[in-house]
Amino acid sequence: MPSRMPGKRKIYMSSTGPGLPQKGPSEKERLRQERERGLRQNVTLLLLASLLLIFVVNLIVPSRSYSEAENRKLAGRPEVTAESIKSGKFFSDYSSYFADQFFLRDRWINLTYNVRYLTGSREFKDGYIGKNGYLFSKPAQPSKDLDATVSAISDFTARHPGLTQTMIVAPDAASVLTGKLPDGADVRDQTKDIADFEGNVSAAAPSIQMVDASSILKANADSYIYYKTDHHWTTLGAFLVFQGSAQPLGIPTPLTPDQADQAQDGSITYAPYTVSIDFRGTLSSRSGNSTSKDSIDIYRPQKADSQYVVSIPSAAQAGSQADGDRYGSKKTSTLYDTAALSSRDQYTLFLGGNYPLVEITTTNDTGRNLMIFKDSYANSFVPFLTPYFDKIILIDPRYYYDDVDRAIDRFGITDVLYLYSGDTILTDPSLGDTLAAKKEADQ
Amino acid sequence: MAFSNLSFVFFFLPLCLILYYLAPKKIKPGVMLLASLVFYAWTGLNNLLVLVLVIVFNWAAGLEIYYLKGRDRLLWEGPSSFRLTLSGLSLAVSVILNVLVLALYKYTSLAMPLGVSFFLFSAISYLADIFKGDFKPRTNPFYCALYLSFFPKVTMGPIVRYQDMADQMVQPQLTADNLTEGALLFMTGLFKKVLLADTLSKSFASCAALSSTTVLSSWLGMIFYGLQLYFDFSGYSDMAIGLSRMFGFNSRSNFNYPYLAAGLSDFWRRWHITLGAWFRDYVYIPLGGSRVSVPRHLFNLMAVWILTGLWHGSTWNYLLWGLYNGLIIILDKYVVGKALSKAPRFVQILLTDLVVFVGWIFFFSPNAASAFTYMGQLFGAQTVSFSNAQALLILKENLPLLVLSLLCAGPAMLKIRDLICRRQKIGTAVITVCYAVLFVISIAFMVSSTYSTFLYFKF
Repeated sequence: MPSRMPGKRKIYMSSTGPGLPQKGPSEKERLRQERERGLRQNVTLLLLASLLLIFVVNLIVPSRSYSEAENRKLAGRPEVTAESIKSGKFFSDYSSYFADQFFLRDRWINLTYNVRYLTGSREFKDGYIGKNGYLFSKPAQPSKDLDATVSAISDFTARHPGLTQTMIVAPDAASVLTGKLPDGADVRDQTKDIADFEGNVSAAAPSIQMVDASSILKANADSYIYYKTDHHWTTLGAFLVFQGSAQPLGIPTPLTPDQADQAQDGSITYAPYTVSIDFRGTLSSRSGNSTSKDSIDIYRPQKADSQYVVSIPSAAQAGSQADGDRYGSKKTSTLYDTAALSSRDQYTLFLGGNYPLVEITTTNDTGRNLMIFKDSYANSFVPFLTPYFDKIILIDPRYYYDDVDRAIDRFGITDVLYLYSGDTILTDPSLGDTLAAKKEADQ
Repeated sequence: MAFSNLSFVFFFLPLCLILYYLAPKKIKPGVMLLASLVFYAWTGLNNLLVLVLVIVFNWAAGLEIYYLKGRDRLLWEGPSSFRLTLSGLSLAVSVILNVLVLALYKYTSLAMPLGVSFFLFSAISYLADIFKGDFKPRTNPFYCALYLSFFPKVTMGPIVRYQDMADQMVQPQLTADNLTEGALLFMTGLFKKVLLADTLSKSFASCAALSSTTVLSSWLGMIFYGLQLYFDFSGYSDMAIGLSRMFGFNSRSNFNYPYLAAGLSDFWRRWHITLGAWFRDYVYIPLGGSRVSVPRHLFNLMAVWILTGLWHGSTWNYLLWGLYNGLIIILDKYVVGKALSKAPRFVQILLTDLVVFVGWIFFFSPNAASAFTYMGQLFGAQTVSFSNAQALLILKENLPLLVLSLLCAGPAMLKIRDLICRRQKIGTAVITVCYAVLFVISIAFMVSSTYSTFLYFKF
């Protein structure tokens, strides 16, 4: 360390002292500064060592391209271009890159979560930390353009009067598992929003059958019907609603093995199998929590003679404007993508994710072809439906841009199901866009 | 780049420290200038261009004023012995041009370069001090450049005088004391900003997001905001001063426990000290200060406070806030001051805090009308009730934070720290471990945060 300059001995106290330099310290001050010197030296050492260490470590540690914990791509080193330096984008990108590639990033985020939890915080970005390890997403605010969705549904109904239509809208966990929310959490009741929406749809298109998923789920709030770490319902939750929708869907009541005594003519039993016990879903990534985990079950219909083939057309065939042939053309004999169980987002076990269009062809001979307008909640529901229909066509309006009327003719659709979570249908306008009549396009 | 940004603390800063300390003595100031220019370029080369232009202009203007003082001529003699000299005219024109640049960014929708309010004020003080004869400007533009662009203070102050930096620009005071005190100050500032201010801002946001307003939630929101603003700004100032010292530049402090002030005048000698000093030295005293007739004194005070309000923001809120401060100070000096000074000290402090916190309402309200609405809510207007379950929950969840913040807003923490350190080895070790733990948590918070900016950034 360079030695002090002789003759120039101004004493500046720390920012706690008066704002102007004083002539000289009092005896008391000098003693205090002596004692403080030991602390100062330690803290300086701590700071400088940390700066140096972390600086070097970050240089050495290789970059990751993807974060499993956050379920997103991580920023890479930005390119040095004249434009980016001029606008400053290079530097802000560099800051993002540095933060994303910070060593032990996931551990730091988890530490923040634990510290915040210990100091009593029960909120994270757009979510709550509930009881028993439950994480909750905050229910979305309904869009102001819901009327457009309602009228699109009613116009669609008018164009296809022969179809049997059913609507199932599932509320999010925070509106159902109210007992598990942290005390005093000010949470919007999505079941009311859904009831309002369904009321408007019924008024505009009375032929659509409504399933009161909210009541079914609320009645079973003590069961494991929502994932603790993910924003989806569990397979049990989906199944309970499925049982409640049997009548509108025109199928005999489905049963679990312990309900065999309630069997009707044609009833099918569904046996649950646990396929994963360490699922950590989207809420776990968003909050930084790493201790809660979930198990995933699948319910297999015990109907030996029902087989099916799942065909996922390429983007071009499906008519989607999604990036190129992102999906390629896939044919499989199972609705489950078991590769998902070794990835982070295990919920993609169901159907392998969301596609513009999925065509399921079964060996049944019921004369019924079902079209489902859906979001990801339907993915764990669809496997229940395979024994009852000849064809099941899944359309995800968020990615589908083709003419839905032509699709109905092409597949010979007899039944339509709207199967959504409240968060999506109350905010996303794509359903309305998809249902709207397409003008005769000049291809 | 904010000081609480990961890439600043763990990339830019270590790199700078290494280069700076390794560089030979003569080159150190040059390294500092280079680092400052790179630091400022981080916000965009367009902004750097503005800074460079401001530097070049003021360097030239300073030299011109000095030159003209050497061969000055009286241009005009006005009332009450006001004399306009050639050098005075040059000063006036240069200052007006600087102010116009500031006004340009404040009142148009042009993107404001970071810290423009701060370094333009530094530039004005540079020119004014040359005119007053406080120092001789150097012909080498290097020193003016380093003074204006010095990265520890370029974005957020403190606003320092050229003379205070002049010697150190030639020969930085790289002493053990400066390094260690600087490091300690930097750490403390980091804790204030990352641990206290950012957490308080979340508490404030949760009050603002409540679906129903109660008297309790209004008070809580106001208190959270006032505390957040203090820790944010004083934390940032601590980091700025700490950094300056680590690079060998001593600096005056910018905050002195403002929430322990007795009287609004006292408050403004403790909050953003360098800004108050600037307005005092370059507006209030030139106008005559308090050594004038009473009406003129009132005018001087209101002028300073209106300008202070305008400096903080370009909307009506800030102007009203400035007026609010001015009126209360006038009341304090002329009406209630003597009576209040007889009251017990803690009463004076509480009253001052009340006045100040209510004033901050102008800062966080989007417009004047909502500011007054909020003030009404403090006393029951337009509220649902005195309190409700949600407000009580916020109070309950944030009580530890509130207590901690109030402790940290005064010298209590430092006294406790010193008390423990009296036990030499053991005490110092314990406190060092505390600092280490807090530092680790700070890093964690920095990694996790979405960009949480310093509130004064837009000035």
